[in-house]
Amino acid sequence: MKKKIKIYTTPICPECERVKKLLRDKKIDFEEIDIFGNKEKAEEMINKSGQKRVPVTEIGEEVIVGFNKKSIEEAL
Amino acid sequence: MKELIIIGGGPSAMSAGIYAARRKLDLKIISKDFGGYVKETEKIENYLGFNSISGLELAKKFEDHLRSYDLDILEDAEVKKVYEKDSIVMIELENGKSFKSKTAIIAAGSKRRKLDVPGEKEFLNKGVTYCAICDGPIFQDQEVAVIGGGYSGTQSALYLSKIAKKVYLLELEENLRGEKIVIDKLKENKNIEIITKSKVTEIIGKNSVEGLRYLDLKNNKEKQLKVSGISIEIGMIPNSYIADVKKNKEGYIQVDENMKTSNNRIFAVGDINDKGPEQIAVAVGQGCIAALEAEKTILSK
Repeated sequence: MKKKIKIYTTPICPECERVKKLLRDKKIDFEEIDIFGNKEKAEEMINKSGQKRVPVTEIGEEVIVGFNKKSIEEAL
Repeated sequence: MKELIIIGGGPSAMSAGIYAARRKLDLKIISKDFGGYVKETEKIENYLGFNSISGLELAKKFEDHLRSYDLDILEDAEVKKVYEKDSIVMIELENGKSFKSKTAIIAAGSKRRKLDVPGEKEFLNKGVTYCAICDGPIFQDQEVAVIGGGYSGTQSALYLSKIAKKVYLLELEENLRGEKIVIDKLKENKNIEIITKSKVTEIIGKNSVEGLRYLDLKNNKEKQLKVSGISIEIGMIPNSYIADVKKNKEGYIQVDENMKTSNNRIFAVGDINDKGPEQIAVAVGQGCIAALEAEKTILSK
């Protein structure tokens, strides 16, 4: 079954770009949530990861903070 | 064996790569990623040819330019060690792989300097950030502090002032050290408060950052600020530990006017060396010099 993928990002964020590029290169679809100007989504992201840092990638049940190629690939 | 291996992916590395590619050197580039700290800069307004461009966009242009050449690029790689043995430069990676080359250009940049106060480690990613541009939007309508009034601190304060309710900019010295054009804008901004001669002593909070304590050096009094986000921008530490060459007291690799290190097969460019301000224009120029000088070394017997 295909896992649902969400990435919480901000407009200027090198690590967010790397996560997106990694998934695009693998031809995997994802939903991007830009938290800029969106307090509700920012709050949602902080609740999910327990951290105040972007990007947060949610793959099925797993939540990965920052760009971590290995963790993302394992979660896919 | 390669003729030249470039280590790094910032502007100095990419510039060296383009010059080396056009000289058709047998070349390999090893880097974690491309763009360096350019990508963590909101706007760049001092690089020739671009009145105002986002760091991400400029970095993308640099990378596209580099990749327009057919190059041997190894990405997502961390270099552990660079040294010379019997006139061959050896490059060892963290993953155990190693490469040989006639020459190397080290452009591995620098990492952010830590403040080294209680609370900094504890609250990392819980309000403490080293990338104001990336994490800034999390602190929308909140009060935040930027520690460090240099080039990047002043720019971050300006960026955060568009997002946060209030920005405190704390600087240890008597004056801010960024660009005058940026400082003037900061001073006009009503939601920015500049606190010079302030030495941050502690970051405080429970589950996440709630404030900081600092020593007001004007009257030697301890003071406190209530903030939920803190960006630390007090300079950089060069990633020079990988290289077995001479460094200065601060750890920057010593180079001559040709970007050559104490080893005549190893060059160092960009933020990692002891020459020039840490600017894109400087990095690009140094990359050019090093690539052309490396070619001379390759051709000389």
